[in-house]
Amino acid sequence: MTTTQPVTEPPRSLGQAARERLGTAFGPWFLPTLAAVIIFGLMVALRPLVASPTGLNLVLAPLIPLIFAVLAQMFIIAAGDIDLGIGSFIGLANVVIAVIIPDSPVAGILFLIGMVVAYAAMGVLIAVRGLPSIVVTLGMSFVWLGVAILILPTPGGVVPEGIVSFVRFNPQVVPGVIIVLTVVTVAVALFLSRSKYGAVLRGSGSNAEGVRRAGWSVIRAKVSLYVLAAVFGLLSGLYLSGQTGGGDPYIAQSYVLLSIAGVIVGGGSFKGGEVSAVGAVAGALVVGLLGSLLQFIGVQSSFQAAAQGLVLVLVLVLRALVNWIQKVRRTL
Amino acid sequence: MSDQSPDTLVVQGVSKRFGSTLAVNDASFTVRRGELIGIAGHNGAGKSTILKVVNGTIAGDSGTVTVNGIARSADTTVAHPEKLGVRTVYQELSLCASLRVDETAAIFDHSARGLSWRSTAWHNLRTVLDEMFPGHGIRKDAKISELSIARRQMIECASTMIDSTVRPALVILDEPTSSLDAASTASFYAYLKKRAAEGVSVIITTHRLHEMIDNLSRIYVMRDGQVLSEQRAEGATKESIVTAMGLAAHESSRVAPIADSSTVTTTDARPTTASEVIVRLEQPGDDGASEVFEIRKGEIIGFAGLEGHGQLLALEAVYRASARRSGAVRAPRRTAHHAVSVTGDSAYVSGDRGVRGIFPLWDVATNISFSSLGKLTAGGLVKPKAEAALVHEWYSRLGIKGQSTDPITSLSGGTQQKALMARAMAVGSDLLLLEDPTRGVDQATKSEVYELLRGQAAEGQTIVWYSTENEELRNCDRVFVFRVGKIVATITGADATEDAVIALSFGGQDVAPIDLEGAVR
Repeated sequence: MTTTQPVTEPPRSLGQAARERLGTAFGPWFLPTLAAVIIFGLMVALRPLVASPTGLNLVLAPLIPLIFAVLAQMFIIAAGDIDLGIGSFIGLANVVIAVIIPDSPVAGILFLIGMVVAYAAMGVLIAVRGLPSIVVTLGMSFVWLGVAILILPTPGGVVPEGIVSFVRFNPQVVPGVIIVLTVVTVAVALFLSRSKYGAVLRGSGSNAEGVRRAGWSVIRAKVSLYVLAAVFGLLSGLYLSGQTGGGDPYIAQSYVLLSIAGVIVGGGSFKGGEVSAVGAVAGALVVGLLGSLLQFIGVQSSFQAAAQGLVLVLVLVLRALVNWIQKVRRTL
Repeated sequence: MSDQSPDTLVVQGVSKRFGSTLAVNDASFTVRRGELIGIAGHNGAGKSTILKVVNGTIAGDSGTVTVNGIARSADTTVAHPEKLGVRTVYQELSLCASLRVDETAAIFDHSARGLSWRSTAWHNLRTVLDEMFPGHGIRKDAKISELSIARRQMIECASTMIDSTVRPALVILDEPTSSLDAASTASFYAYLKKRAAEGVSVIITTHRLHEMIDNLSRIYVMRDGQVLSEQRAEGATKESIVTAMGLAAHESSRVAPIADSSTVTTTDARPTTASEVIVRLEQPGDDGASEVFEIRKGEIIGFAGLEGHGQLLALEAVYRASARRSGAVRAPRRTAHHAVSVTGDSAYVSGDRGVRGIFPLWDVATNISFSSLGKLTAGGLVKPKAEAALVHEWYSRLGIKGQSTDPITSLSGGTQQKALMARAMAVGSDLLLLEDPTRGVDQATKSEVYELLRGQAAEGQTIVWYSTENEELRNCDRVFVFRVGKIVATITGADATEDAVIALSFGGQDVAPIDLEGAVR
């Protein structure tokens, strides 16, 4: 009843091949990276000293904790979830490092490990019971904050000298921030985009059932993502502690929404599985540098938040536009 | 591992109860090594359930399942059926939209490890793909979300046949060909036969009965959870299977004369009515002059051709060109091949109900009334009585069983599709656009759908219908056959036999499929 015809691959025009290459080159990370470069370029144009090693350190160092927070959030968003507790979690890590570790390093490290285990348990709870992550993480955020306040009711404490000098490590040749930024970005990007388990993790966020049917443990994948998020949350807390030198339970409250904004600006999507490490770091830079740039331009501080928000919306609109253009080009 | 037993699968006395319904009732069957068998039955007959018990996804209540000579009680589940050589393609697709094709391949292929895991996995998948679907046109760096349903289905089917760490022994395919065109389907079965000769056993369920008869060795027929009869494919006919399924006399009432491709009377069928023109498609002809195709009020028009030759694109263009209000006109819409102008408004029904259709969290009533809420309101608020009346009317017209307050996901796939049709029809638009609406729907429901469409057309609704099942095109008044994006023939529904449509879609010299829909979603 049916005819089988040998069908060969359709001939491709040169233009088509070029379009395809363009399509893959414009990964989700492209636009946020471009935006970060433009913002940084504008800052250098306004204040050339920004490009000096000292200037780079001054501008970028405060962003390192935010970058870690955005990467933590990225793992949770990769799982198709949202973490509303990351700010309080980082605050607790900061307090533990500033108060418990100076007295008893062993107890402090055990405490931090316990926090990672708690995140893993949260992942199990969300994966097995199907609870909405937004509720679980919001609830846990009060726990983190409450414990932090119990340990340290008012800002104080002293971060051990070793941690401070580790965080402020700044060799003469290359600024320390650049080293940290590069190492972290490359490591996370390689793991997430180029390793097989990274693909499984991203896949589990977009179609958990499909990944399970292919013979992988979805619960293990979820726990892995939550553990990674916790580890990056701790790193964020470590850098915050080293930079401020003291403890404050409320220190990272603004990171909750900033980290979500960073991931989304960085090409991530709430659908799950759609994340890019390079994009997330670039998104964090965009979110973080915008404030400095607006200050440089002389935007009044009362307008800064609004201006910042508008630029973020602009980036998202551009991204939608790029997606649309890509779709139209492929359709032709 | 595979020498000890001539039977790959022995199912004995398996039963499974869901609440008050006995989904599978004392089912027994056998699949020999290297055999292709089919399981036929209408939606809800228990096919999917028995297959899930076989591969260990769900636990049965009683009975035993023996795979490759290793028996297990059916009331246990299996965490990793792939380690036993059992592979499954489910009806609802299970690929991860966010991954690339080679990453997807690696997730299925546990043998792809090390630094070159992506290229290894892609190499293994591509070897199967190239043979199973020549000219598939799938690139390794394409994202799954960018591929058409047909291409995703190809990847799923091919991934069951790769030689991973454990070679496939028993492959279970639940409606594998529902979005594939005739040529891909043929090469797919040719590949299955080749692998069967090497000792792989395959179980297939499909509603395309002729596929089973032409390609498989035996067919088990299920009804109400029981395996009722076993037919050898050689002796079986569509009628014998349909009779066994208990669907006697449910066949299409509009029997078209059986014609082979040589008896197509004209490839330029004129509109069947003289009523007003609703859709006008214009395309450049070979001689430079433009060709115009008109669709008139009350006609049922089929869009046919090989998968990916522009039917879907044209259907979407018609949808986008249609106006917001009944009878209104908008500026013509241009695609790469057509200029489309439409008089009146339209409603669209997609066969991909999971993604583009149902609201899974809502009940059936809201799913039906949703598109009509605009005309059911007073002062911005929905009138509950009018809504209930509308839902009630469509419940009885479509013969949907159950309560309208049930969640839509509690219905079977075919019934969900009926509810989607009801939603679109209840709007009462000038034009009804159908994108493969009977994908994965059983014969009885299909017949009801055809009946319903004829009723709508008689009431003056114009219907444009894209179908991958050439057989159902006979229910159309006219069929437009597409090739490489353009309409190459218009034939009457009576002429639109499977052979005629295939002959026309393959006509001319250019048989290379081009990627038109692949990129659309």
